[in-house]
Amino acid sequence: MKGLGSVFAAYLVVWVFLFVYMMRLDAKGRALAREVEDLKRELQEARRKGGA
Amino acid sequence: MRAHRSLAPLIWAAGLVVAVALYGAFLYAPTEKTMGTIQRIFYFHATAGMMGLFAFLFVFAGSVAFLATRNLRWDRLAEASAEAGLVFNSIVLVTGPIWAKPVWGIWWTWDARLTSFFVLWFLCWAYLLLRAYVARPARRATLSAVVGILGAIDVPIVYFSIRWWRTQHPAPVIGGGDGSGLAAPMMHAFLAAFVGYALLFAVFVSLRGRLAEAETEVDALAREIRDEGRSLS
Amino acid sequence: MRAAWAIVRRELQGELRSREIIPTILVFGALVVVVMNFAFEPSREESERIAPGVIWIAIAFAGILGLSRSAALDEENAALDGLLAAPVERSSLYHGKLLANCAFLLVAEVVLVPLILVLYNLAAWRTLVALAPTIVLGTIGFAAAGTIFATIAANSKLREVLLPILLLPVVIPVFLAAVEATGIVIRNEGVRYLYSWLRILAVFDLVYIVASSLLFEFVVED
Repeated sequence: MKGLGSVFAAYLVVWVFLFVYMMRLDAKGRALAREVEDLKRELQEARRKGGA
Repeated sequence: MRAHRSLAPLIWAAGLVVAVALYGAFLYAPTEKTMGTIQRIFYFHATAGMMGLFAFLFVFAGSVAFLATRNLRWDRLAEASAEAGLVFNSIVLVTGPIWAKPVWGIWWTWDARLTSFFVLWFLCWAYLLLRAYVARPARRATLSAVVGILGAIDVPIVYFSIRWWRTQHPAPVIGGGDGSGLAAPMMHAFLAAFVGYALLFAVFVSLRGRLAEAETEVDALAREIRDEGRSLS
Repeated sequence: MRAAWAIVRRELQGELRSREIIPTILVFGALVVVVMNFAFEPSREESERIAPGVIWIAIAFAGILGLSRSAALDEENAALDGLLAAPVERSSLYHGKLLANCAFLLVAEVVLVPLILVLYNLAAWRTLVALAPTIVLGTIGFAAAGTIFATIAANSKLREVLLPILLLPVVIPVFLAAVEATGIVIRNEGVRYLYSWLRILAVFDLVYIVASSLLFEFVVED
């Protein structure tokens, strides 16, 4: 089964690339969602202070 | 924030088709006569190439649509497609040499297709680099759209000129000649890989697009907070 | 169209006064040639093979400097703002800049290309005349994409540094076709293949002039 090692290496590369990109998107997505929540809270605070 | 349809069905579909494609590539498809087992790389190498090319199509479409409508969702499509394109092009460039080494004994031969994809890779990267260094979102979208269009129309010219060059100066072709016949089961495996990749592409673009939306929202909120602060003082 | 010529005249007059762009292209081009010589130290036979590459690498890198400078001067003099205020068609702005940049590049190449041929002992009147279409078509292609990309790069935070990154991948077909055509002329090979490369150059030139003419307004809008 010549070349099976190379085939495996190639598939590994494919999945590493796809997986890493997916993870990056997910991580950034969650970080941004958190930031949105934080900022929304900050905005509410700022508005309350303005009213009072 | 706009409520989004859950991506779960799409992700599950992608996962399922990819699993089928893996089975197809490794077990279902017969071993190719001349190249042997190594040829199985083809199912995920060539399809990655097709995704890389489709990415440019979407960058072009998104860029044109943005310039026509000024709706940022088209800019998000272009940006997401360029990123996904970079991922798939990278896959092509790395799996190509992995294929070449056992077959030709060398990693790289400036083969027409791989060289073209190398140039395409740089075009993707240049587009993304420009985006990183223009601050204002509207300006960034406009300039990126121009670069996206100018880059995308280059793709056929790059491909044909490099192919003509290789016709004049032949060299080992990586990954089997153009249209080396595909037996029926191989065609099935190829299609499965293609659909699997296409679904993954859709997942990437959707996720990346939402990221971009969230970034816009962050900017908007930050601005509102600044305004509130200013109206207080 | 008259606006385009007015821009060309203004650019050429500016260059006559300041003499910034053409000398830059010339000197840097010659510098590239010297560096290439030390990089490769070609023998007599090898000279013929690498001369086309050297010519176009010199033109490409020196040309990028010239294009950058040309776009930067626009920013510095706020020349563009004045023109944008007037009811001038944006594509005319592009055509004017394109013609001016072509002029700068061609003037520099008139000195640089013969110089390179002499340095590589390939100089002959026949060669120079035969090379003219290649040089002109290649320069037009390079400038067609370069003019708009230079303006885009000037708008970014990286400024001129971004130009080579944007431009070089896009003009690969120009570079490739020009080098091949130049090689065919220098080695005095078949005309048939020369025409195929010139055709590729012509196609690129046409596509990019048209596309850039349409897109330039978006680059300079506020």
